[in-house]
Amino acid sequence: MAKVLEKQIQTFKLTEDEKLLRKTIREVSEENFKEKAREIDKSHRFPRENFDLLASLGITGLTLPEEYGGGGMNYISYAIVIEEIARVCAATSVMLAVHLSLSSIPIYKFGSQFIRDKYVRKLAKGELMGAFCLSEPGNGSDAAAMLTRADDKGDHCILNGTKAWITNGSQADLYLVIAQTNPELKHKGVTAFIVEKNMSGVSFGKLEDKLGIRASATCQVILDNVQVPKENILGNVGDGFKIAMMTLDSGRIGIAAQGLGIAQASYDLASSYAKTREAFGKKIITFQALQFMLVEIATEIEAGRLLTYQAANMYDQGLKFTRQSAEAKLFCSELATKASNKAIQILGGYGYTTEYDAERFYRDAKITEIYEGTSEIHRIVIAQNIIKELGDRT
Amino acid sequence: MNIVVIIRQTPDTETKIKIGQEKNRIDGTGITWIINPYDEFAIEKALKIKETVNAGEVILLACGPGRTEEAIRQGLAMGADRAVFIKDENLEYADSFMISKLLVNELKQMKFDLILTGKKVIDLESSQIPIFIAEELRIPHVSFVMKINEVDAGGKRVVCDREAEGAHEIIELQLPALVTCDRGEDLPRYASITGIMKAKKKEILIKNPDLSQESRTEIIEMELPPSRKEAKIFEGEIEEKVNALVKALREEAKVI
Ligand SMILES: Cc1cc2nc3c(=O)[nH]c(=O)nc-3n(C[C@H](O)[C@H](O)[C@H](O)COP(=O)(O)OP(=O)(O)OC[C@H]3O[C@@H](n4cnc5c(N)ncnc54)[C@H](O)[C@@H]3O)c2cc1C
Repeated sequence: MAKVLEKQIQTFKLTEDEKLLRKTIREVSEENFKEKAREIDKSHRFPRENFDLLASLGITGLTLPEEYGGGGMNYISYAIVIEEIARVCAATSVMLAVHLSLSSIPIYKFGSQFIRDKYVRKLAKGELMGAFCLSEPGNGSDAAAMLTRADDKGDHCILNGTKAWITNGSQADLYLVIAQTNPELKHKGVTAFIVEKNMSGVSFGKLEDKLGIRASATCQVILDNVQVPKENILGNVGDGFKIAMMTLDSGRIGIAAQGLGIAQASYDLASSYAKTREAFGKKIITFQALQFMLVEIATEIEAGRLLTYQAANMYDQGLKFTRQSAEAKLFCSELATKASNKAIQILGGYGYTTEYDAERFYRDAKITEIYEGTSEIHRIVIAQNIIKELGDRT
Repeated sequence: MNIVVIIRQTPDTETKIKIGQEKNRIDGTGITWIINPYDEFAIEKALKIKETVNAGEVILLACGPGRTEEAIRQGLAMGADRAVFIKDENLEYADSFMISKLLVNELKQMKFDLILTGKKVIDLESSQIPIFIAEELRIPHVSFVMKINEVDAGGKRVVCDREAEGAHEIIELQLPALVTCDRGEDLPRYASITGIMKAKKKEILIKNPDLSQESRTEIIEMELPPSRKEAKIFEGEIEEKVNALVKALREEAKVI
């Protein structure tokens, strides 16, 4: 496997430590997450122990600065880690992706000194797990239409509302909550808060029963007169929407990597199966119809990996990368669904049963086209950027 | 207490080995390289000792072609302090004699109390190098050690547990000494993120080998063992056996 990867990224030469990281995280994932992935999918069990293992290796703080107990690694490393974990267990990969890129990183990036000192080291060490609360039952894509309110009470705010579909919900210790502080200003009146799980008035809805990533915990976070001190405001009052959008811009690279991992897993399974399975007295891999399916997936995985690394690299260099991260996420998530669909096809009847992982990959793949912005929203984002670029040129 | 760990890079156990164009070489394309697993056990044991006595250094020593650096970096990321690397592309097929000589030359210039290495290398299935080195350095050695029971840094001695034919031999050694390692209970640790980041700053001292020291054996031809379908034997009560057989026919042989 590793050899295929090395070949695929020739034009994008990974550094020695990035290669070592990939090797390590692949070993960690295969030895610890792979075998139970199917069982926890079936039983709907949140694998907290996977998070704790990642914490013990410093991966929960991978890209956070070393002075706060993080690993100080770049965003390409982050993409590598998410891809490798997703290759064996997508549910574990999203647990980490949300903790790191949607919660810990913005808490560090936009946090005051007080916030950094209070939370970042513990997030990096995995002593605290993070979650991100933007969506609501009535609005997902149209996030600015949020109804969750935060009322100014002098030294604190009172939060009321319901956030929906929250990954790591009820399991996480810290919730980055985006709430309306001034509805008249619409998205410019939105503020980001850090809400602790044990603050009075925080409760959780039932676990959602999902098609895929069933071992990931998804539930509503209900805020009923939650008193949040003003020190827990991230950035300034009114910055919330900008913080949320910037967070999703980079978070998407993680979902692209997740899609990539699922696609790679589907390809690995389908290609090795096709090499051994026989029909009409021949190995099925000798049928051109199946070769073409494998060729298409293999080619698109290479393309997707380059798109993902490109976006991550632009982020690392401080360049504007909104369009590239949207492209990577759109391409890799649709690729995940396609590759896992083809994997089932190549495995035939066996692919349709739970004896093989193809059906799990298929169920897990679909969510990557929905969360952190649907494919439709991504096409809109890309279009807006294209139009802006065209405008700049005239 | 300074510990030198001798490591070698070998193909991954899961790599499918192919014979190359020249019959006495393997086809290097597509091979995933790893630290020889027994050498990895040796690294783990060395790190454990260092953690117990809380002093000294763990130094990796390797002899091989450039690709070996990847294995060295992994050892450094696991926690070794620094490395010495005798590097030359011509060492790809150097024999045990030549490698031993080169390692001995290097070890004579190093300060150490203990040398650890794997009980064998999994590529050539050879266990000669460590014994040769101990002889050349005129130090005691013990092979196939599962566990290092005791380390007395001040008194310069170690006590090792060696599994032999269903029994355990407990052996005390005066340092400096050489020990070859078996798996034992300590599984090699993963490189942590801090480990990987720190490894970047650790020193790998590159040495050019004296190539006048030549191999004394030569591989003339290699051949893959003939493939053989292994018989499968089902255990248990008759009902379990039948169930297992039907399951295997269905899921593995895929004939029903
Ligand atoms: C398992 C899971 C985990 C999640 N985790 C989190 C989390 O941790 N935090 C969080 O905040 N949210 C989370 N979400 C929410 C997720 O981000 C939203 O579901 C997503 O943004 C879509 O919003 P929606 O479900 O309200 O769909 P809607 O916005 O109602 O969209 C419905 C359909 O309309 C399309 N559509 C909407 N607007 C347009 C438009 N302008 N043009 C064209 N088509 C459009 C959409 O693409 C979609 O096909 C999660 C969701 C799931 C299922």
